[in-house]
Amino acid sequence: MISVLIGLLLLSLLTITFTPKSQSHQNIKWAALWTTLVVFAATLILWSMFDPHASGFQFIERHPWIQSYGLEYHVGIDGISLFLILLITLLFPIIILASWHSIHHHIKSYIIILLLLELFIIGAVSSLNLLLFYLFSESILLPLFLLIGMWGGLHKVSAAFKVLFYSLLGSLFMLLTIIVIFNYTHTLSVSNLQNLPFPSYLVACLWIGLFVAFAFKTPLWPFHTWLLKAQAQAPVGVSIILTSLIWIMGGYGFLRFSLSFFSEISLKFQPYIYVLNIMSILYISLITITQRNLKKLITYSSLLHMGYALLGIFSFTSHGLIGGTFHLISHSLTSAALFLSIHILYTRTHTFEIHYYRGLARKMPLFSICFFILILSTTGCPGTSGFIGEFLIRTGVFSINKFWAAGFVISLTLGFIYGLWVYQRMVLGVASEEMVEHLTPLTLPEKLTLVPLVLLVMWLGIYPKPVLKILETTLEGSSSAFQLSKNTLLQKKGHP
Amino acid sequence: MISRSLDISSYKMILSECLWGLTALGIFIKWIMRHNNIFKNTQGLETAWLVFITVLSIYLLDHFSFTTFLFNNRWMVSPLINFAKISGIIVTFLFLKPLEDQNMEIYKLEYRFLMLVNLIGLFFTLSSNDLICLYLGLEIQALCLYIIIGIFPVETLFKEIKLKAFILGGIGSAVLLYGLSLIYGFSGGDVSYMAIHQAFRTPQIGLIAGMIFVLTGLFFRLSIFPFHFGIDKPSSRCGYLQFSLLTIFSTLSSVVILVRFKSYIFSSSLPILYFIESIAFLFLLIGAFGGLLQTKLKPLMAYSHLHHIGFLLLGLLTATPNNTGIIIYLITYLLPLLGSLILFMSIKYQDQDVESLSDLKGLAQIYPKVALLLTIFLGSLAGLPFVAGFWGKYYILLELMKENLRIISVLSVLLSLISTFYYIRIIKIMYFGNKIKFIDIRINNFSNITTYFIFIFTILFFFIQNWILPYLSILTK
Repeated sequence: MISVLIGLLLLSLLTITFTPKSQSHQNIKWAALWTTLVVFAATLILWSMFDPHASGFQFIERHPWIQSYGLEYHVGIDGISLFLILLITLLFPIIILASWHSIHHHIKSYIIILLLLELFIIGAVSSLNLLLFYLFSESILLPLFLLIGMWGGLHKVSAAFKVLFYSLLGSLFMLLTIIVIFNYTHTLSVSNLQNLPFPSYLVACLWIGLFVAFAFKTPLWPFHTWLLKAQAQAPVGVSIILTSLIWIMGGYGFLRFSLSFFSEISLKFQPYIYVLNIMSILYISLITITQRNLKKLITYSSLLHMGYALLGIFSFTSHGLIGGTFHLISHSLTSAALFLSIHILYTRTHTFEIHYYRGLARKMPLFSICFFILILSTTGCPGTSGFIGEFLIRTGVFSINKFWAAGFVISLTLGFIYGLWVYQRMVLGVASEEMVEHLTPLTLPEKLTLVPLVLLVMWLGIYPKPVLKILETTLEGSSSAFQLSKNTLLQKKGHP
Repeated sequence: MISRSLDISSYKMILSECLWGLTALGIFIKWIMRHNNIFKNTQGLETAWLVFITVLSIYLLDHFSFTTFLFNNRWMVSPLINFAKISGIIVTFLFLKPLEDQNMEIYKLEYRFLMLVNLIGLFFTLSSNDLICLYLGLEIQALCLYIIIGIFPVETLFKEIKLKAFILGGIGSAVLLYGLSLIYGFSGGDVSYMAIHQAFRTPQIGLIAGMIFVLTGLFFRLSIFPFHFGIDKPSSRCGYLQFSLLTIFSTLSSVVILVRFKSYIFSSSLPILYFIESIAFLFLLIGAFGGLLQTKLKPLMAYSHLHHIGFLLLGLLTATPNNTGIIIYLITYLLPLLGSLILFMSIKYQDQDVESLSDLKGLAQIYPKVALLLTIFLGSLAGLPFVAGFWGKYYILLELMKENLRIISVLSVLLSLISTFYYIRIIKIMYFGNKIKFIDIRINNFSNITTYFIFIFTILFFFIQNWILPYLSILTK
C-alpha cells in the first residue's frame, strides 16, 4: 500500500518531467495539485483500512535489496507513521496552492522538486530499515538546497549551504552509527533491532551518533541555527516544509530508532536531555518575546514546541509519549497554518515587521479569527489541538520530576505572553492610513488553504479521540518496554 | 631456470595485448607513410578495426577466470588485472574519438599512436610480476603522456607544463629506482614479487625503507603524490583530455599495483601499512581542503581526485581477497568522473574550454539537461544517496569499521563532508547563477551517447547493484 503512494508520486513525477515545453505552467501546477490530492485521498483510504486495535506494523512490504549492506525495501506503518503520512500528504496540496502565485520562475522545476520531497519524506517516515530511512532522509537535502537557493530571498545561497551542511554533518554521524550497528548485528531492520545487547562503551557512542543526527533535523537547541537562517530566506512552501515536515522526521527518528533500539541508554541520558531541553525552552521563550519580526517569532515558537514534544517523548511515561507524539502532529499543523497566514499578510504588505501591522481585525475579520485560533493553539489553550499535547506532556513530565515540570510550566506561561502580545499588537487597535489601502479580505484560494487547517486544529482540540486512541495502542508497546527497562535500571541501583 | 624456447601457449594468453601492439605498429607505419597513396581513404577501415579489436579484447580478457603466471613468472594474468585492462581499453577507445572535434587533424595519427603505446605501457604496468617490468611499464606510460600533454597546448605556457611534468616524473623515477636498488640489495639480488615476498618474511629495515621508497616513487610517478605544486599548476594548464588521461590511467595502474603489492608482498608488514594509512589520510585531508578555495575547475577536479585516491587507499588497507570494495569504488568513481570530464570538455565558454567555475554560471537555464547530468555525476562523486557513488564510500566505511579502524573512518567521513562542499558549489553555480549567453555545448554523438549511458548507469547502479555485480566476472571468479 505504501508502494502505491510512492508509485503514484513517481508516475506523476515522470509525467511532469517529460511534459513538452509547450505545456503551460498553469497545467503543470494543476497536474501537481491533482497528484497531491490523489495521494492524500489514497492516504485517507489507508487510514480507513488501518486496524486501530493492532499495536504492531501494518501494510508491511519486505523485499531484499542489497543484503550485503543490510539494505532491504522494508516499509510499513504503525499508528505514529500513519498520522505523520496523513499530515504530510495533507500539507503538500496546501503548499502547492500557497505557492501558486508566489513562484514566478522555473515553475516546472519547483513542482518537480516539491513532488520529489513528498516522495522522500513519505519514504523516510514509512521505512522500517535503518539504512532505507537514512537514504530517504539524506536525499531530502539536495532538493531542499535547490529550493532555498533558487527561490529564496536575498541571502539565499548562504542559507541553502547552511541547511545542507548542518544536516549533512548530522547525518554522517548517523551513517557511521548504522555501519557499526550493521557490523555487530548483520541486520538493519527495525523489527530485529529492539534492545540489542551491545557492549556498554559502544552503546553510548551509537546513541549519541543517532541523537546528533536527529537533533540537527529536529532541530534541537543548540543545533538549531540553520533553521533561523533558512527560514529568513525561504519562500512560503519551503518554510512549511522546514518547520512542519523536516522536524517530523527528527521527532520520528527519536521515537522509532533512538528510543526503541537503545531504551536503557536513553533512560540513562534522560537527565541530560531534560537539562538541555528545559534550558533551551526557557531561553527560547524569552527570545521569542523580544522578536520584532513575525517570521522569526513563529520560527522561534516552532523551536520551542519542538522542545516541548521532546520533553514528552523523553519522559518515557505513556502520557508523555502520547502527548509528545500528538504534539508533533498538532504543532506541525499549527505552524504550517501560521506560516501560511503570515504569507497571506506578506503578499499584501511585503513586510514581516510586527510594528507595521495594527488593527487587522477591521479589514480582515476572517483572517483575524483564524489567526486568533492558531495563536491560542500555540499557547496551549483548551479547545485547540495545542492544549491536548501540552496537557499530556505536562502530566508526563510532572510524574517524573516536579522541578522539570515547573520549568516547563514557566515556559508555557511565557508562551502566553508572546502569543497574546503579538496578537494584541497586530490585530487589535486602529489600522494606520497607509496600511488600510494594502489590506484586503481573504481571497478564495487563501480561504481554501487556511480555513481547513484552522478547522482541523480546532477539531483535534475538541475531539482528539480517534488520533489518541490509535497512538495509545501503538505506543503502549513501546512505553511498556521503557517501563520494563526502567524497572531493571532501578533494580540495578538497588531500589525495589 | 629461464627457458629460451618460444612459449606459444603464453602468447595465446596475451592475444589481445599482442593485437593492440600490432595495431599500434600499424598506425605508426600509417603515420610514417601518410603521404603515400596506399593509405588514403583507409579511415573507415581503421575505425572498423579499432571497434573490432576493442570488442574482441574485452571478450577475451573477460574470459580469464584464473590467476596465472606466464613467460617464466614475468607476466601475471588475473581477473583484477583484466578488469583494469578492460577499463583502460574502453577509456582509450573513448578518447581516440573526441579529438577529431578539436581541429587537430595534423596530429591525429601521432596522437592515436601515442595513445595506443600508452595503453601497452598500462598492460606492462598491470601485468608486471617484478619491479623492473613495472618500471618499464611506468616509463612507457609516462613518456607517452608527456608528449600528449605537450602536443596540444591550451596556453602558450605549454613548455613550462611539459618541463614540469617531465621533471616531476624524473624525480619519481629516481626515487623509485633508488628503492628498487635497495630491495635488490636486501632481497638477495632478485626483484620479482615472489623473491621480495620471501625476503619480507624476515623484514629488514633496508627492505622496508626500499619498499617505502618504491611506493613514494610510484605515487609521484602516477601524479598522485605531488601535492599542490604538482597537481595545481599542470592540471590547470593542460586540456581536459590530458587531465582525464592522467587521472584515469594513474588511478587504474596505481590501484592495481598497490593491491598486488598488498596481497603479495607486505600483507603483514605493519610499518608499510601505517605508511599507507597516513598517506591515505594526507590525501583525504589535502584533497578536501585544497579544493575548498579553488576558483578554477581543473585544479578543483584534481584535488577531488586526490581525495578519492585517499579513499581507495583506505579501501586497500581493508581489502578482502576479491577486493570487492576497491572494485565497487573504482567503478563508482571512474565512471561519473569520466562523464563529468566529457561534459566539461564539451562546454565552451566564449569558444574556449571552461576554466573558471564562474564560467558555468546559469548553465541550468540554457542547457538544463547538461546541468542535470552534471549534477548527477557530481552528486555521485560526492557520495550522495540515490546515485552510485554512495555505495563506494559506504562499502569502504563498512570494511574500515569491521577492521576497527574507527578514528580514520570518522575522520574520513568528516573530510568527505568537506569535499562535498566543492561539488555542491559547482551545482550552486550552475543553478543559482544568472544566464550568461556565451556558453555553448559542442559534443559529438558518440560522447553524447557515452554520457547518457554513464548517467543511466550511475542511477541504476544504486538500485540494481545486486543484479549488476554478479555479471562482473572479476568478482565472481
